[in-house]
Amino acid sequence: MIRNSLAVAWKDLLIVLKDKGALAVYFLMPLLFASLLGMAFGNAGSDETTIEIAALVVNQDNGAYGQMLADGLVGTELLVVEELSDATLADERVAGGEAAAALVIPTGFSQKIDAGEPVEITIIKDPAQQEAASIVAGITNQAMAEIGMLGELRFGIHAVLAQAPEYDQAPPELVQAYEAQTLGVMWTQVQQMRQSPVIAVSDEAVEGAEELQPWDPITYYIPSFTVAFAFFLIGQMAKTLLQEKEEGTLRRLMSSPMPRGAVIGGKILAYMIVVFLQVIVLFSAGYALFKMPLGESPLAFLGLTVALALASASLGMLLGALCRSSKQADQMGMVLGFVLLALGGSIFPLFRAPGFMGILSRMTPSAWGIEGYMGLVADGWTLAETAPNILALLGFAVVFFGIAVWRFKFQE
Amino acid sequence: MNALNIAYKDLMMLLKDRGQLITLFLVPIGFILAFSAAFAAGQELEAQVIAVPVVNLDPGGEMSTLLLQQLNDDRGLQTEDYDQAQAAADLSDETIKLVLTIPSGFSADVQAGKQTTLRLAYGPAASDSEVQAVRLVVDGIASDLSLETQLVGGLSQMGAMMGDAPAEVRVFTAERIATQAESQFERAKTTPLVALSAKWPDQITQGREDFNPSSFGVAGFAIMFAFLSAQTTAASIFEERKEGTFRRLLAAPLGKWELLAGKMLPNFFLAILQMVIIVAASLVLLPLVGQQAPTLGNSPLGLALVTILVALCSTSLGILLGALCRTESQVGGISSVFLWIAGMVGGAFIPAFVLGDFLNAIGKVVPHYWAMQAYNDLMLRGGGVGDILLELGVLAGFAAVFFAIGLRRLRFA
Repeated sequence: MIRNSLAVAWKDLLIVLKDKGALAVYFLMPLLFASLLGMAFGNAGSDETTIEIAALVVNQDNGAYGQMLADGLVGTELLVVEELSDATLADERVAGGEAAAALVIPTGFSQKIDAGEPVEITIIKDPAQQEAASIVAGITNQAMAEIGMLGELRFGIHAVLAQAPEYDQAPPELVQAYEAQTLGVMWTQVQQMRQSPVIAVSDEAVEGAEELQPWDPITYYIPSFTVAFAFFLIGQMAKTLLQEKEEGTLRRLMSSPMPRGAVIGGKILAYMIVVFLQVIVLFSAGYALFKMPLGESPLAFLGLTVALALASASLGMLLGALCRSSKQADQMGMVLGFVLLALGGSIFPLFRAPGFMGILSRMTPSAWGIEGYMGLVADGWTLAETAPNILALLGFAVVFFGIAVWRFKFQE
Repeated sequence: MNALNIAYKDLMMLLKDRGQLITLFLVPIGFILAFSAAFAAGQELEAQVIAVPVVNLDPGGEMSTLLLQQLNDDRGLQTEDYDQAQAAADLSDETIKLVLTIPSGFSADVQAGKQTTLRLAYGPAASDSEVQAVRLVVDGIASDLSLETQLVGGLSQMGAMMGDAPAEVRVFTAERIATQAESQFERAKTTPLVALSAKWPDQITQGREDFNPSSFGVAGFAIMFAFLSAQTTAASIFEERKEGTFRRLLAAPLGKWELLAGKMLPNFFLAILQMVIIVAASLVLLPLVGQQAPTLGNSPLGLALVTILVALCSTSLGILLGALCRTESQVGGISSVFLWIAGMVGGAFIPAFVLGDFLNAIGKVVPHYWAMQAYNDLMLRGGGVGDILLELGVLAGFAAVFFAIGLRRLRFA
């Protein structure tokens, strides 16, 4: 029985591995998705960022603060800033999508700050580049907080000085010099205060808690796309199963002195091996290209992978049992693959969402697989910590397999 | 006429294939729904108020009261009073994730300018992002409070240094400073000295007060799937080539181009239908999963033109793929990989800027990019046909080039 199963498995494995298109979909595609998204949403693999956002600055102010703000934005690495003199032109160019956002620093910006009057800077956002525009807004807000602080301080000093009885009689140059000097002293103090604030904040892990690591997106995307594409195999598996039935080769295999279990077992084994290969290829690539950790428990990793492979292969069997033709199986497999990809949390960790969506997500085997691998590579889970995920996947496998055996007909 | 007959035959074949129809229509809609539901859940997750257990060892103090008040002040946190021992026990048995401790003598220390530390302890149940989110808010409030008290302290000190001077020249008295600072801090809370106000370009909103563009783009998905359907055209050419029916059709009094036009027509209409259904379904279904319905802009003519050109481009690409692919796996798997990547670098899937400038440059050589630009101009920027002439031209150019190469390279037998 075992020899027979192995022979069937070998045959099916060769069919998959000889198909270059299938190899591209099952191995190359998840790798590309994971790498692209990992690079896009993190700094995985590279030390410098190449992201650049086009922004426009129209400085209508002739004072120091407007200049300070404009210079601050020009100096920001993330932004490619062009300075314009005409706000209408900037509006037009943002409307045309040439820049994600334009900042208009109004006339009298500096004078108003000096007089302690609140003043607004306008950001014109391109509705088609809203994500990029909000990054520009975030950077501007940071630069403005600094200017606001300086302005408040200067206004405060001026206001206090103005209360002095002899203020009106003093020569203006002297007053100005005194104000500037005081501001200088205070500004230096502010910088020092920031270095040693009177209220400090510390964070610490209590006993038993792991030291927190900054989240690396690749530790999400490699697990998520590996699992998603492990389930894209089900269409292929169901298709070959039904093809054998349609072409009569299944009946021939049945009439050979080989138990039925061996034929099915061989098929399942072949697709389990493909899942193993996917996991090996993708996690090795993650390790080699992005220095992704592989976790601390090889045993848990192995257990999770076996459970994932079983869940995927038995779902493929189930699909083969429920579909009427190989073509239908292929297409339903594709649909199911996409549903599992989205619902299982491969684009966004949906299983962590509160409420209904989170529960719905956890009803897919993918969610348990992704969470398990993430736990292993990102949080260094042990076998005990991974056990619920392994058991959940095995549970899915048993249910899928049970229904498949019940519904599958070897002959029409 | 002959072309129409072939088109009719192909259309019948497609419509009889229920699985194919599912792939063409249900997959994209399901994908968009799942994607946008995930997107909405993500936003909900971010907007969630985080409960922060607080152990206050300085109860009733002026500064600790102020701190607690600011922590609960609409910044996504909600503090809960905890007893110190209880908090420690709950932290280790994972009933709570983190605890913020306000040290005893907090108010007195801050007012005296003596450094004091707020401690944020987290247990095994806490995740990095939660700790970071709480830390960010606490840091912000702590640094504002520090600066306020230290500034007033610093100015008073300056005043005190001039304490020896005669009363008339003692400008910086503690009293004046305190009053001035308080009035400024008070004002800054409601109206900051410098604020940022956002708006859409006047050129777009002129005469349209209700302009409210959706931030979730459906156009990208429509483009993505319209181009994926190039595989349907490619597969039908491949099949006929493989089974030899192409040669038979050629034996009939038919021009080569008639044959190709007949192949293209049904797929062309299906691609248009597919995009229309995707957008229509999004209009109805997206609000149900908590997303804003897509905005369509105000140029039906422009939308029609882009959609026709995208469909044309996709079918010509199908001819090209059908001509170039030598094996079934090239038509199926390898083409899908290629088309998905094209959609990604073309900005149909994620905002283009996050990919960095190198991939962005590559993005411009795929038709997806230009289709995306055209739809953005129409649907999000409210533009008209005049704004998308370049994009229309480029898309037509792609279609012509794909078709020309496809026609040249296509071997019918």
